[in-house]
Amino acid sequence: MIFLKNISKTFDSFPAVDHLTLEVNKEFFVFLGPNGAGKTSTIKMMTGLIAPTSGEISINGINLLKNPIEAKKQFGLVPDQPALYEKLTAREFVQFVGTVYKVPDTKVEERMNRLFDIFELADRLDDLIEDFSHGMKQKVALVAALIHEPAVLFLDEPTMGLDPHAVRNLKDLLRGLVAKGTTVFMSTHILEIAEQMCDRVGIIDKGKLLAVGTLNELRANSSSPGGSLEDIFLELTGTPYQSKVKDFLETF
Amino acid sequence: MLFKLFQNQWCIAKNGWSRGIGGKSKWRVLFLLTMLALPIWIFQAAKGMFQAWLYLPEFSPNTLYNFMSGTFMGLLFLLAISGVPIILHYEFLGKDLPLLLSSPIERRTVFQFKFLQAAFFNSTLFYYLGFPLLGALAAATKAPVYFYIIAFIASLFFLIIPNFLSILAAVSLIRIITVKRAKNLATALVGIAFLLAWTGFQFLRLSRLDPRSSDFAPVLSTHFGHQTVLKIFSVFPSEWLIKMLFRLKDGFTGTAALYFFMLLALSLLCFYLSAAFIDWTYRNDLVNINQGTKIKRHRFNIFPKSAGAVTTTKTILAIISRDIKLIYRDSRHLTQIFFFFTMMIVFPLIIKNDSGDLGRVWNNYFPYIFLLLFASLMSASLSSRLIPIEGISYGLMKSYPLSSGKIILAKISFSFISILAIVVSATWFLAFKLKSPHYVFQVVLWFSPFVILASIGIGIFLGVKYARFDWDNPKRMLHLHGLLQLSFFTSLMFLFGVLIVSFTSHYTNLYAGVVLSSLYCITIIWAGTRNAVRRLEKLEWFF
Repeated sequence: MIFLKNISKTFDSFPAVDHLTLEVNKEFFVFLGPNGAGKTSTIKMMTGLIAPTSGEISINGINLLKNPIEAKKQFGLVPDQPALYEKLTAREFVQFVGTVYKVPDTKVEERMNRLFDIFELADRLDDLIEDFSHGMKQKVALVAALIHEPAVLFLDEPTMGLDPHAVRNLKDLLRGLVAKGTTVFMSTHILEIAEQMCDRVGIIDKGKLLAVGTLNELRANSSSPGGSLEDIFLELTGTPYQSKVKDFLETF
Repeated sequence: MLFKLFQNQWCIAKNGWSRGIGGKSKWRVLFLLTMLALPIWIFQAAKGMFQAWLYLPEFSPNTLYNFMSGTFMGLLFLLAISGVPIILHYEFLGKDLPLLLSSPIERRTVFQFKFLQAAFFNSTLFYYLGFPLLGALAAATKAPVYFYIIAFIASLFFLIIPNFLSILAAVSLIRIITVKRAKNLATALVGIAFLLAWTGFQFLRLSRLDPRSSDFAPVLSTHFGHQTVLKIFSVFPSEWLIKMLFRLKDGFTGTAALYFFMLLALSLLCFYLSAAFIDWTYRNDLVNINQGTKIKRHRFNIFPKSAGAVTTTKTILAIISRDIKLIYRDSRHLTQIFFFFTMMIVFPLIIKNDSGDLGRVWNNYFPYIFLLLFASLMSASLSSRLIPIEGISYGLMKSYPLSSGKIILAKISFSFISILAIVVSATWFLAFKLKSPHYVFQVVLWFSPFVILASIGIGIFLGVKYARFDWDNPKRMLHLHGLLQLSFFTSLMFLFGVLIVSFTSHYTNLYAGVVLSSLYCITIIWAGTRNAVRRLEKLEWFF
């Protein structure tokens, strides 16, 4: 379970996240927002990468600010950029992560082989990560995040660079994990994935949480009840550039 | 189009300069001073020496020619070696290559542009050594202005040739290993080549050919002046450059022109062939022959596989083991370590006789002060890099359930163990070579861990404070302020430690000095570690 109570983050005087309160429990939660809305800052606060200016964060009932080590044991993170140790092989990297999370070696080996098999990377396990493509690195980051069977999984744009097979496998895997009780918190720009997979959606803009709920709840509260998630998103976050696009196309 | 590409490059350089060092006047002045100080010093030193060779009767007229011929041949080979990683970077790994190659520009123009770019960045050595020597030659012989202009133009043509040789070596390498591995390997080879050249120069001692120096060796000078340049040397373009300049100096313009046109023809041929060769490499897909670098499993397995619980010690050992891999798989780090190791051994051997009249006891210790100084600089340098070595992957590390204390402990342990092993080997070697008394060896061995720890204390703290996680080159792992402070505070700490030992042993005895300076080192490692842990804990991740 993820519990955020009134968290804020201010950079100089700019409020990146503004008094955000949210509870996510054993569900597939998708976090949406335009660029610079505060999604990544929120994920960074929830994973201990930056400290909130104010507020409380708890993961699985453990206060992240007071007991960071125990709280961090509860989750796995797939960042937006798969920045991995380029001079390690995929196997070495996952083994290292397993040791850090205190997973016994034999379990690491077993889970790693199965996960790499799912992501069709089993034959590249002993290659240096520096030779991998963006999508392959993303797969390694996913395997590493899942190696300790976390109760909570944070994913920041996880489908970026993945091939259609891998996207499909990831979707199935995530749905299966949620069915088994894992909490999945995913930030994405791909609204179709959000629409297909999520239990609930949160929409953030300019650091404020504009709406939270299931798709049906969001539709019911929007001006077009039969609209898609894209319509709801655009309605809430505004469409300031549409007239400019039209003007440009007229002169193209 | 080539001009347009250079115009764009100029724009990039201009923006980088005005928003970087050039943006602040004090840094601009410091940068310009650094750029000019060494070439001017070399020019002045060489000019005086050349004048002595030319006008003192005991020197053969060949002395200057032999010196220039040998030096420029050395430069030709060093530039060809140092050009390999630069060529690999610009011609095969350049971040702008996809954009340029997908633009409506002739592919050969792109490769010519990248070649000239690489040649420019590979000319640093020539800027610091080649140009000042040519200037000194002209000044010593009182050559007219046109001599300087011709020498400069001929040098530019000459610089094309070693870079073409670098292309041949680079393409040969990427047929065997991946481009990134090739660049790593080439960087290590460059480091070794330069260290060997430097070491050779230190033992050769140029001052022995300089009549103004106290080291001057007349017999050696006579011998050097009467050597004749081997005929085989005539096939090297460096020899053409030197012959051209000497013929021009002596008024044989016809022969000088012949050598100039030989140099011009070869450099133009190399320039056109370079682009054709790189184009051929791309067309034949030689760049992608080696898709990945397989690492043999269990070759370096510290821990046997276990089904049991993972202990804290094992976690720390896992961090150390990972750091070892990050270091030994990146030859740039290995080169740095090798550099310090060489300095540790070579410097004490060079200065062993320069201790003057310090007294019998101190004369024995004198060379080891330099060994410990380089050990100290190496410890500070390595430990400062161990935080930024994580790169932008540190974001993941920060999200893992690991305390900053454990991370710092792992980094300190790795630095300490590895450097202590290096220092003990160097001390043992020097003690054997210098036939030092047993007690000197023991005192140096006693000091080593303390000096290493204190330097690690400084390094790890400054490493955390000034880490640049988005580095592309190990030289830029710390912010400039951090690099300057690292050298300054480490040297200061070392100097202060030496002063403590000197004063205490002067007023009481050596052993009191040893104890006091050991306590001083422990205080520094304690303070450095404590502050490093605190800073790392508070570090906010913005990548």
